[in-house]
Amino acid sequence: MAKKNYAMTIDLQKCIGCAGCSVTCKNENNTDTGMNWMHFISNETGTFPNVKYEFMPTLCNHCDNAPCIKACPVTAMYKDENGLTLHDADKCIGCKACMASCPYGVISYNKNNPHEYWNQQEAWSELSATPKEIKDKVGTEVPYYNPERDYNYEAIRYRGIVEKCQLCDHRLARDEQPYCVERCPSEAMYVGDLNDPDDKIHQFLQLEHKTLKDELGTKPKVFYTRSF
Amino acid sequence: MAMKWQGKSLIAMVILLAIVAAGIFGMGNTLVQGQVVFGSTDQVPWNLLIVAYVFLALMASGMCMIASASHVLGFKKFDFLGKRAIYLALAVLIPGLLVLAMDLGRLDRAYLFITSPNLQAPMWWMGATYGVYVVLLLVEFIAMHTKNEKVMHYASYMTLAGAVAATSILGGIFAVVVQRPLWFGGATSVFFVLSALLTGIACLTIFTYFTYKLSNKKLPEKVDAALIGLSKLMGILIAVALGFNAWRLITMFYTGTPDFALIFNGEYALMYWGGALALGLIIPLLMIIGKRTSVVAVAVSFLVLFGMYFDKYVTVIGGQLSQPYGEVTTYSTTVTEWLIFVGAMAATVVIYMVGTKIFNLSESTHEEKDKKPTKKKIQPSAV
Repeated sequence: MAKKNYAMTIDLQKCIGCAGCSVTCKNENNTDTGMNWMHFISNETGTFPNVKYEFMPTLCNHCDNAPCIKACPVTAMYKDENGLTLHDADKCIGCKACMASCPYGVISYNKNNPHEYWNQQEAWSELSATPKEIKDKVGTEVPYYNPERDYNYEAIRYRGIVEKCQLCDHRLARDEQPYCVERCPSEAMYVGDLNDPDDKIHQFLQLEHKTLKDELGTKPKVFYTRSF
Repeated sequence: MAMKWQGKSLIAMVILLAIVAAGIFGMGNTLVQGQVVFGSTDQVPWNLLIVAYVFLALMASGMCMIASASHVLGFKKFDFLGKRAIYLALAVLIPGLLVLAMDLGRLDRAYLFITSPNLQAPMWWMGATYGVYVVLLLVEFIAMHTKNEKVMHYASYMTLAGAVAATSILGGIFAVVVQRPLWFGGATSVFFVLSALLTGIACLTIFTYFTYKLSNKKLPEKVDAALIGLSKLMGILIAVALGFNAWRLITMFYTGTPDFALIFNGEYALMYWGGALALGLIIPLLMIIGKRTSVVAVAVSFLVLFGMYFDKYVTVIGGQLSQPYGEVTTYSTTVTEWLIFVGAMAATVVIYMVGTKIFNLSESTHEEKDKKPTKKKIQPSAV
């Protein structure tokens, strides 16, 4: 079977700027507060009534010429057979070379073990349970734990390593769209195979499109279509 | 040989050991609590420890370059400094590598450098060359100590090549990052070699001067002459460094990036203009032009070291502040970072002081090419 080459399109005219993608990503990938594999840039310009608001979802661009892969001294960052730029948690030494070299700032470092909040023994009031009690009752590492992430990556990463968007490779492996795509209320996003001429992504790429910082030669694979 | 610690040296040793202990506390704290004790963030991933490592590693390489070059290129004037320089290089580099190790999130996985290498990564090459280089330094020092001329001869060629390679590859880690104007470009690697020479000479000057000064009433003539010679060399290197900085500013002016504003008239302007340029390069150059004595050489060396610290701080930290989509962030050091940095520098002095008691660091090591039929013995009066 031919190798795939996954890429994403984000239709900026369909995007309503709800940041739902960012929230659902946290759900799917068990990321801690302050750590966003999927995030956004928002920019307000002008003065009322002549104002302009821009909103762009941002995530790892899964670059074809990924600087993080070149910078990682121990091959913890790698290209998989489907063109995804992935991180191997078991190999990462936490040197942060990938973070320093990524032009998009989409790699995060675990200074501490994530979700420490759920080990707290203090309750909000004497009527409520403590975070630790809730966690113990549910019986998972965090109450909203998604075990599916464990399929091919650490379900919850740990202190001393970096982490980043894997483009929900666990979902792509069973022919499902990444969770951010699936849950986008305006269906602004799509992940497809550039190697498959029948894939819908080629229709989306007929539209006017751009990538972020492509002048750096990183060959990013998140395409923003129909910008304003 | 029995080590005697009396008077001033005893007090100095106690103070230094206290600082080293504080550094070890900082390291312990890091290992137990994790890097929450550091000021680095997802926006500024590399912190003061990387500045410290770059500063110390370059200094060590610089001293090795001087020691090896004096043998390879026949600078007989500096011959007697060779053994001291190589020992000092080890004394600086080993604590420096420990500082770097503290910034690794998973130090226990360092073996992956061997089992899972990425030959595209400058950081892998840096690790590999510094690993080999430390071994070469040890071999050279042992050869010097045991007066094995043959091994010493070949080792000095290899350590010279190793020092230049390791230093420029360390620069390469920064030089390949295309989106950071304060880092990117081949000139960064070359400037790292130049900074190494400058800081190496400065460090060697300071240690040599105080070693003799604290044990002798008057500085021996050859030491005086060597220090003045080193300061002249420093003068040339400073002039080149000024040229590098001028062109860095000019080329960055044309980019119009936030990084340029940061060092030109922004948050880091004082550190850059005042610390790295005025204090570290311009004033020392004027001092060397004005008067060339060993005291001036030592004063200049201190200034150059401060200047080069600021230079590396501005480069490493300042280079990370500009964010992908236009905003400029900030970074603050933490107490733990400083404890580890200062502890490492104190450890260098401790290792050196112990070395002066154990090894005869003042002896000339390269007598084989001298015309005199008998071996010239230089009295180990200094230590």
